[in-house]
Amino acid sequence: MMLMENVYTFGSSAQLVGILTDTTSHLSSDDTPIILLLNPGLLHRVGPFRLHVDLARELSGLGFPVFRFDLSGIGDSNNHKDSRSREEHILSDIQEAMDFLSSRKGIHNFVVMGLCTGADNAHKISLRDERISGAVFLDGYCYPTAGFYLRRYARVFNPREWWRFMIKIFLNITSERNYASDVHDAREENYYWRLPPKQKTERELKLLVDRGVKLLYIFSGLMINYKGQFASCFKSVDFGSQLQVEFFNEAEHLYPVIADRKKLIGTISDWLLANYVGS
Amino acid sequence: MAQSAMDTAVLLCPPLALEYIRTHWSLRRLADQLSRAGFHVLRFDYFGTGDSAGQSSAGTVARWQDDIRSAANELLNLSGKRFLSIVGLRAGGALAATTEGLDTKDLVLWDPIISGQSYIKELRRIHDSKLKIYNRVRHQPISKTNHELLGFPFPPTMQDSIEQIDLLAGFLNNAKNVFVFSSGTIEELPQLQKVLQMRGAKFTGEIIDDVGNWGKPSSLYDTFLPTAIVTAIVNALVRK
Repeated sequence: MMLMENVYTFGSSAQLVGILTDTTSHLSSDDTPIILLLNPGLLHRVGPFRLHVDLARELSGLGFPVFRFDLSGIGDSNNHKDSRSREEHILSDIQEAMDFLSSRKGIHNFVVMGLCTGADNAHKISLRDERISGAVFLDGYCYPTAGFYLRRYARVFNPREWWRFMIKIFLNITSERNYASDVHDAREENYYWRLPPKQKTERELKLLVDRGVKLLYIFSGLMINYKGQFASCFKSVDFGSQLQVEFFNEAEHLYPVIADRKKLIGTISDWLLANYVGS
Repeated sequence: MAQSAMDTAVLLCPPLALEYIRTHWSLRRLADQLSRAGFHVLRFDYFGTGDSAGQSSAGTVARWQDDIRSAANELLNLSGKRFLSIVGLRAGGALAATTEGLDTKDLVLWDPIISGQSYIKELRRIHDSKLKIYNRVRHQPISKTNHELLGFPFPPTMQDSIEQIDLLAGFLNNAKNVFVFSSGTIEELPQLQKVLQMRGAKFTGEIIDDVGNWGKPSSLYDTFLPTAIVTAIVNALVRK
């Protein structure tokens, strides 16, 4: 299938840059949403390990147009010159992307997707803008539960964990240029946003569910330590059939392993097909 | 506007794979500063990298060198300038230095890869150390493969072509002035200087205290925000 990608600049108070990967698939219809890919942290629109490019091209082949763009001050987009807060800039950037795409493509239905700070921004824009009918959160909001702590501290009774701990201490003592120091920060690097209070998130999730927003949460081993943690965490929210949670416990936060990225792209593709084509 | 900027356009050649992602912002910053100094500047992505067409596994050195020639022609056509200068970062420097048919005025190599073999060897060393870390939480460990390095596919054809790069034996760019700005010591610098002087090029090499840490696994995902080297590059091109 021929790839149709075009670069656009848009935005009223800052020049923003985005790339639309369009689709010629017969699966696409008037109701098909445009998928918006948000920046993870400071990484530009290509995404970690080119994830966003691969994802955009895969999804366009399935019939979904994808817009990957740089928020103001990131990648090739310019900074705003006004004094609004960073959060206001980001949310208005995303809304301007939707306005631009609506006027260009006549589509008013969007699915927003983000990893890390992108998930944080995806949550906030989903609340603000009713054009968003679905959201994909990669390491989005989740909170520790009793089950989380139980699994975390049960590790101390595992001889294998003790052995790892001893090796780590040994390496730290004996090796000046050791790579063991990467162990603890490999799962924390590029992870800077703070969780809002749990009750606030609960209230907001209820609002999204009431509005009919479809939700896909995919967690790496960074945020949670068992698949049921999200459901256990938000027991008070009746998600009905609008929620899917996946736990890739062996994957790293930024998906540096090709096989993990393929699995991630496959899961997102299946979810979109099930929720926007199969229904 | 500096005299050199009146007749010269600058092409920026990015690194490959993970280093491309890490350095995107710094090359944008360099482009902005060169533009403020009056230069027309073009940044681009090679085939199979960044926003460009092609799968990440599909590139080879020959293809990327073709891309550099295409980008150079495009830049000169668009800007209407007579002369071309090139700045290449890491593998971008090696690719620009080994590309034939580029009539280059100034070539700036920023922390360049001198030997493709050493580069692949270093990527493999960092990849293996990362793999050990990833495998600590995996029930089914990721097996070592020669075709994936630090999250990117490096199939044999790509790897072989990179391993052929040797700036000491195959410096084909005919630049009249070659600058090497490095954040750390480059062992082969004296040899490179000799090779270039024998070709009649004017050589300037400088170690500048700035960020780099290319071989350090824990710095892989660090934001790359150089300042001193960016300033040195702009000054070098403006002075010429």
